Amino acid sequence: MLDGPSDLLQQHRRRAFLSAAGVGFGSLALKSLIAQESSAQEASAARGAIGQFHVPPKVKNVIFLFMAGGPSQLELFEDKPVLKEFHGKLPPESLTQGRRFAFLPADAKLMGTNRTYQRYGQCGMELSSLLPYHQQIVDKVCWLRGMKTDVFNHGPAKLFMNCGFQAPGRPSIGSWVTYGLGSESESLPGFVVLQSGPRGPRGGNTLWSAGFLPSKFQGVPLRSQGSPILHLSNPKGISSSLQQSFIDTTNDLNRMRYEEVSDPEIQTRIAAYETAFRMQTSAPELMRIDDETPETLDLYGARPGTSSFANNCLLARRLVERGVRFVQLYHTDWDHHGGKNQDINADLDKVCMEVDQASAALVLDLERRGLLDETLVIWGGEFGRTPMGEVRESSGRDHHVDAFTMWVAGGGIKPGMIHGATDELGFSVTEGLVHVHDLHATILHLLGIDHQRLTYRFQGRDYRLTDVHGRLVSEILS
Amino acid sequence: MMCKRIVVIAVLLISWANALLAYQHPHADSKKSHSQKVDFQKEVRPILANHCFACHGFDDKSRQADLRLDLPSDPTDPNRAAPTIVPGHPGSSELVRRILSEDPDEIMPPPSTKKPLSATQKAVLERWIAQGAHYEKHWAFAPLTRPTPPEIADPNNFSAASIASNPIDHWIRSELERRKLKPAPQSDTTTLVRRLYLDLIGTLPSLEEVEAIQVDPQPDKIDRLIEHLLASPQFGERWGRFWLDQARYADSNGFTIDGPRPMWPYRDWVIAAINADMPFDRFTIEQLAGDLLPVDSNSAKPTKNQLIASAFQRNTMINEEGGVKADQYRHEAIVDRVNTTGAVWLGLTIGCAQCHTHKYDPISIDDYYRLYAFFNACSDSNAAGPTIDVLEGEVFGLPESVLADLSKLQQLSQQLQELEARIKKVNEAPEPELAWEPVPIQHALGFEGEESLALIPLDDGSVLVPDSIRGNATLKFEFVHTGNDAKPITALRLRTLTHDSLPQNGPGRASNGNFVLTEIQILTNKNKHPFSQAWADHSQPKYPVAHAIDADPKTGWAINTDAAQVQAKPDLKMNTPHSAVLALASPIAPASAPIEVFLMHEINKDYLIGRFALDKSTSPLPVHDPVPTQQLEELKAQIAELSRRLPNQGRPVAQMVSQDQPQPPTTYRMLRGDFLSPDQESGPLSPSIPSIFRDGEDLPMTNRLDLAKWLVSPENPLTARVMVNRVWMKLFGTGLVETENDFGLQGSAPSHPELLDWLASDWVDSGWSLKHLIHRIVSSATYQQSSDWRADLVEIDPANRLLARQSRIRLDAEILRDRALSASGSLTTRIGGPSVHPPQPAGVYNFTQNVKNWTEDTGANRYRKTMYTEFYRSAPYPLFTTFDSPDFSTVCTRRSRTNTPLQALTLANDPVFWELSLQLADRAKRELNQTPLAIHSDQTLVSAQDRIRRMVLLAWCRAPSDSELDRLCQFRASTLEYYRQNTKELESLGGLDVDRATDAQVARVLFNTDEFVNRD
Repeated sequence: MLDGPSDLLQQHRRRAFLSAAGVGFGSLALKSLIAQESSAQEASAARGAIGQFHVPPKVKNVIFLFMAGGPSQLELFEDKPVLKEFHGKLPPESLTQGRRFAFLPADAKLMGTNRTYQRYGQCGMELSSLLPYHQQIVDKVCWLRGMKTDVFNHGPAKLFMNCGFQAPGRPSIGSWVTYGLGSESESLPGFVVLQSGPRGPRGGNTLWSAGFLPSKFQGVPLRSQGSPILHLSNPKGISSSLQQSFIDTTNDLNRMRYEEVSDPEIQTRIAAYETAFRMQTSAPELMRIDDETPETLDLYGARPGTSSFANNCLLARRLVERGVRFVQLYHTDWDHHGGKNQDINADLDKVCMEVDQASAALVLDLERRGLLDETLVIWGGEFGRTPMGEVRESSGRDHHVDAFTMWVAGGGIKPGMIHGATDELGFSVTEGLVHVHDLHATILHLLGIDHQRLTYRFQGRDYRLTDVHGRLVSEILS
Repeated sequence: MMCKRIVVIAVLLISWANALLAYQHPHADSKKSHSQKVDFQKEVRPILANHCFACHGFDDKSRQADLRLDLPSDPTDPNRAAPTIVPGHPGSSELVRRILSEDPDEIMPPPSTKKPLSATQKAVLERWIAQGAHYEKHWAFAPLTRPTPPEIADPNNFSAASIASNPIDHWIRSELERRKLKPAPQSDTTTLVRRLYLDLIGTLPSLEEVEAIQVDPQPDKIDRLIEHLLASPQFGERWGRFWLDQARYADSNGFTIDGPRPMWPYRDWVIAAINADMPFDRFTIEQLAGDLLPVDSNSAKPTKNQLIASAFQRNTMINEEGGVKADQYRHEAIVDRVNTTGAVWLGLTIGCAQCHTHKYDPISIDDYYRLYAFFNACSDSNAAGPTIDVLEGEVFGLPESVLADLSKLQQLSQQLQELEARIKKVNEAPEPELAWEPVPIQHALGFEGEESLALIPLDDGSVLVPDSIRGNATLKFEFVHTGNDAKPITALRLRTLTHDSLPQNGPGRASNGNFVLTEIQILTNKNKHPFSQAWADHSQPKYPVAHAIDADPKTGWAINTDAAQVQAKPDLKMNTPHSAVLALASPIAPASAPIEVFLMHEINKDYLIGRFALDKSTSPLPVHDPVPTQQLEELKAQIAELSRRLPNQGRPVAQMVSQDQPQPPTTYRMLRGDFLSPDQESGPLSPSIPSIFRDGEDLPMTNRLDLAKWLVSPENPLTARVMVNRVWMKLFGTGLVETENDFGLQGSAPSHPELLDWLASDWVDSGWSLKHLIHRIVSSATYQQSSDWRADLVEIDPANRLLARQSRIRLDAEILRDRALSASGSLTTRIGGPSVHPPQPAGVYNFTQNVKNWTEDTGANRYRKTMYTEFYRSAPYPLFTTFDSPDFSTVCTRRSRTNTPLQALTLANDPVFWELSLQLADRAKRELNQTPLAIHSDQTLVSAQDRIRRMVLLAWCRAPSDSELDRLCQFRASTLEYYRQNTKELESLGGLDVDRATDAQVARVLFNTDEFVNRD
C-alpha cells in the first residue's frame, strides 16, 4: 500500500477502474491508456500534482548552474570605484552595525578590486576581465544585481537557495517542481544533479533532497565516472539480454501475484521495472557526448572522456532535450577567503576559466537550437562576498548576504536587462532587490506555478517553497 | 438567478424573513437534514477550523471583527449588534446570513481566502445552529475514557473463540455491519506467520518454524507465536527502529561537515528498554529528563543508563562548518527539541507557533516560548557539550567475566599511571655535572642484514658513516676500558656531529640531516648493560631521547625542530652537533674484554646517524630510585593482553547526554521567530505547558522533568492517543487517525474514535506496556485478516479505513535488506553495539563536501541487521534514501512509501543483493543435500526444480504455484543455456559453477518480486 491514502485515492480509483474494465494488463497497455487519458484532458494540464497550470507557463525546464562557495560579485560583475578609493579604510560603522559575518574580525578594512572592468553589449553590463566569454551573452541574459539572502554559512545558505529554508528537511526547488509538474521524460529521472570542481558541495544530498515530499522527487545525482546513476549497470556477468529475461520473469511473477491479490501497486511495480530497464539503455546513451559535433564540443570546451563543468553543461542541454524537468549543476571552489588556494587575486582566475566558456556556450547553444525559449537558465552562488577584505595567507573576502549578483536567461525573461543596483561600497541593495524567496516565486511562475498554491501538507501544516514570503519579480518578465 | 434575487431581498428584510429563506435555501442535503443530529466533532469543527479560525480563532494578531468562533460564548454573545449565532435560530444568526450571501463584500469566508464553503458545508452549519449550536471540546483534547465495546450482531463471523473476545474487532466489525460489509477471511497460516515475523521482529521465519505451526493442531498456536516473537530480542530492534525514527537518530552531526558522532549507546538503550518492555511513561521520562532524575529520594543521582537515555535530546544536529555562530545553532537545536516533543508526544504541530500564534490550533506564540524555556536551560551549544564514557555492551549489562576483566584493567591502568608518573619524575631530574673523557673507537662497522661495511675514522677520533651505508643499518663499534686504577664507567655521552659530506651537513643521513636512533645498546661478553636514564641537549617533539633506551624498536630519538621550540630558543637548529648523555643502570667495571656499542635505526629508511663520537664518564651519578623498566614492560604487556579480550579494547566512547545549566538563560518571546529579536519588553517567560492544557491557569514548572511527567500524566490525554495510533499505523499502514502527526483541529478525525480511546486507555491501564498493546492489536481478527485487494471495496473504501481487509505494506528499507539476509541465511543476529559498514557502492561521497570513512566490513558485521548501518545525514547509505528513509534532520513520525524505478535498479543491480542471491542459492542446495524433504524421498539427486522450490520457500515462506514454478524453471533453463553459450560472462562472475550462477539468477528474481518487497 502506498503513502497518503487520500492523495492517491484518485490514482487508485482510475487504476481500479481500468482493472475492473478487464483490460488485459500488460502494464504497457495500462500506461498507454493512462497516457491517452491524460492527453485527452485539457492541453494545458500539467502531469504533476497541480493538475492545471496556475498561470500560462513560459518554460518547461530549468537548468540551475550553482556556483558553490559564493562567487565575488565585486571581482566579476560590480565595479566600485568608491570602494577602491577607500581601500584599506575601516567601513563606516553605520554600514556594519547589526550585520553578522562568518569570519571577519571587527577591524576588517574595505578592499577595492584589482580587476579591470569594461562595459559590454547594448545593455552596457560591466564585466571584469575574468569572464571574457560572458561578453557574448550580456544581451541575452537578465542580470540580477540586487540579490539578497538570509544566512551566511555555506551549508545553510545553500539549503536556503535550494529549499527556501536554512536547515535540512524541506524539499528543494527541483523536487517541488517535479512534484508539481511531473517530468516529460519516461526513461530518465525528472530532477538530475551534476557535479564538478574539486569536491562535492557543502550540504551534500540535503541540497537536492525531497524533504517531506515522496522520495521519488529527490534529485538523482548523475555521476560523470563509472555508472552515471547508482546501480544503473547490470551486475557483473549479466548481459543486457539476460537482464531483459530477468525483468520479464520478475514481471510475469508479479502479474501472477496480481491475479491473486489484485493490489494495483503491483501494476506500478511492473511499470517501474520496465522504466528501470529503459533507463539502463537511455542513461548511458545520454552520457555519450562524443556523438556531438566537434564544433559543439569546442563551443563548450567539452572533452569526451573527462569530467568537467563544460561536459556537464553539454549534458544539461542533452538532459532538457530528453525532457528532464530540472537540472542542477554544482561547481565548487568559489570560496575565496584569502586562505591557501583561496587568493581572490589569483585562484579566482582558475575557477572563472573553468566555468566562463561553458556557461556562455550553454545559453548560445540552447538559443540556436530553439530551446532557450522553453528553458530557464540560472547562474549564481549561495551568497556574495564582502566589500571588506579578509587577510589570511593571501587576501580574499568573507561571505556577504545583503547584496550579490546572479543572472537568469530563457523563456519569459527580458534579455539584456540589468535589474537592481547596490550602494557605492556594495553593502546593500539600493534598487531592484530580489530576495531568494522572490527568485523562487519567479522561477515557479515561469513554469506555470503560483508559488502560493504549490503546497504540501506535512506535520499538519501546508508548506510551500517560499514559506510565507516570496514576491514575483514581474519587472524582469518579458 | 432565483437564488441571487432571494439573497438580495434577504439582505433587506428583517429576521423572520431571513429564517424563512434559510429554510427554503435549495442545497443538496436539505431533504435529510433536519432530523439527523449533527456531529460537532466530525462535521462542524472541521469546517470552522479550516474555513473560519484563521481570522476568527485563537490568534489575536490575525483576528478580524473581534470575533472568536472557537469559543462558544463569543459568537452567541447577545450584546453584539448582530448576534453571530442564535442557538436554535439559524435565520437570526449573522453567521448564516454571511455564509449564504453572494455579495463578494459580505460573503464569508471572503473570496480572497480561496476557501469557499460548499453547499453541504453551509447546510451543516445551519443545521448545527438549528439544533442548538452545541460546542464540544476537540476530541483529541477531551479526557480519555474507556468506552464499552459495542455489541455485534453476528459474533460467529469470528474465526476463533479467543479472537472474538478481542474488543478491537467489536468496533471494526460493528462499523462493517452497519455498512453491510463483510470482513475479509483470516489470512492463511503461512501469510499470517510471515506477517507476524516481519511486523514483530523484522525477519522471516525458518521453514521449520512455518511447518511446525502449520501442523500444530492447537487453536492457540498463533497466540503462542505472538508471545514467542514478543519475547525475542529482535523485537527490541524492530520496534526500537520505530522509536529511533521519532528520535531522529543518526550517527553523524549533520549539516555540511557532518562528522561522525558516537550515538550508538543511546540506540542500545532504546533496544534494551523496549525488550524489557519498559513502561512508556518511564521510557518518556528517562529520555526527556533522565539527567534530572532521581524521582525518588532514595538515590542521589541518575543511573548511567538514565543519562544515556537523555541522549534523546542530543540527536539534534551540530553545525561544524567554519565561521558558524554557536548561538544560532544552539537556538536551532532548541527549536528542534520543542518541535520534536510536540510531534512525538502531543501529535501537534507546535512548530507553527514559533513565529506567530498558531492559526488553527490553540497554541500561542507565548505557549511556544514557554515550552522553549524548558530546553533553553541546556548547557550544550552547537558542540558535543556534556558526555559520559560508555563501554560497548555496557547498556545491556556486561557479563561477570568482562566486568572482572574491566576492573582488573582499571587496576592495571592505575598502576601503570603511577609507574609512569614515577618514571617521569626520574626522567625530569636534571642532567648531572659529569667529567668526560673521549673513547677511542675501534672496529666501527655498519650492518644491514648480513652485509657489513667499515665506517670511516676521522682524525679527531670521531667516525663518519659512508654514503654506501643506508636503510635501517645498525652501527657497531668497540672500545676498551681497562687499567689497574681505572674507575667503573657510570655514563656515556654520544655526540652526533656535522660533516660537509652529509645532507644539509647532518648530523644525520636523512635528506634533511635528521636521524632516528631507536636504540643504543652496550654489551660486554654478550651481557647487556641497561641504561637508567638519558638526557639530550635537544629532542624532536614526540622523539625524546628516552626513546633510545626504552627497548621499543618503534620509538627513537630524533632532532628536528618545531616552531614552538625555535620560539623558545631562537638559535636552536637541527643541523648542528647534538649530544645525548646516557646514565648506566649499574657501572661497568674495568676489564680487558672490549665493550660493544650498537646504534640502531629501526624505523624510517636512511634516518641514520651520519657522524658521531663517544665519551665516557667515571664520575659518580646522583642517587635515584632505580627506574623499573622491567615492571613497565610487564604492565604494558598485561594491559595489552587484557584489552585484546575486551570489546573495543575496553576503550569507552563519549556519549553526548543532556545537562542543564545551573543558571538557565532567560527566555523571551522571539519576534517572528528570530532569535536575535527577543521581545524583552513583554517580559521573561517561565517554563510551562501550553495554556489550553492548563485551562488558562498559571502553572509554573521548573524543568524538563516537570514537562516529561506531565506528558505521561492523566491530565494529558494526547500522549496515549498519539502513540497507540502510531503503533496502529505501523501494523495497518494507516492510523485510526490518518494524520498521525496532527491531532489538532486541522487533523483528520479518527475513523473509529471509541476504539482509539479504548486502545489508549487499555494501554495506560496495562502500565503503558508496548508489548501488551501490540499483543492486543496483532491478536485481533482485524489484524489477522487477509490483505488481498477487494474489488467490492474499491468504491466504498479505497483507502481501507474501515478495515474490511488488512493492508499490503511495502517493507521499510531496513526490513527489506534484513529479509534478504534472513532468506539467504546470512543474517548475524548480534544485538546492539557500534554501527557497521556493509558494502556500499563507490562514489557515494562524490557529491559531499568531504569523504566519509567507510571501511567495508568483511566478517559478521557485513550481515548485521540494516538498522545498525552507519547513518551519515549528508549522504545516507543509498539503500535508505532509495527506499524512503528520511535523512533524520528532523523528527520522522511516518515514512513515506513509494514505488519507483530507482528501487527496481537497486534491488536488481546492487551487488549487495547479488551477493545475497548467491547465498540463497547456496543455502537451498546445502539444506537439500543435508535433509531431503518428503518430495525428494526418491533419494535421487536433488534436481534444479527442487532447488528452485526450496529458494521460493526460503524467500516467500510459501510453496510456488505450478505456474510460478513453471515460469521460474523456464527462466532457469534459458539462463543455463545462455551461460553455457557465453562462458565469458561466467568467468566475469569469478568463474562460478554454471549451476550455482544460474540458481543465483533465480534467487535474484525472487528478491525482486513484489511479494518479497511487501508484507502481505
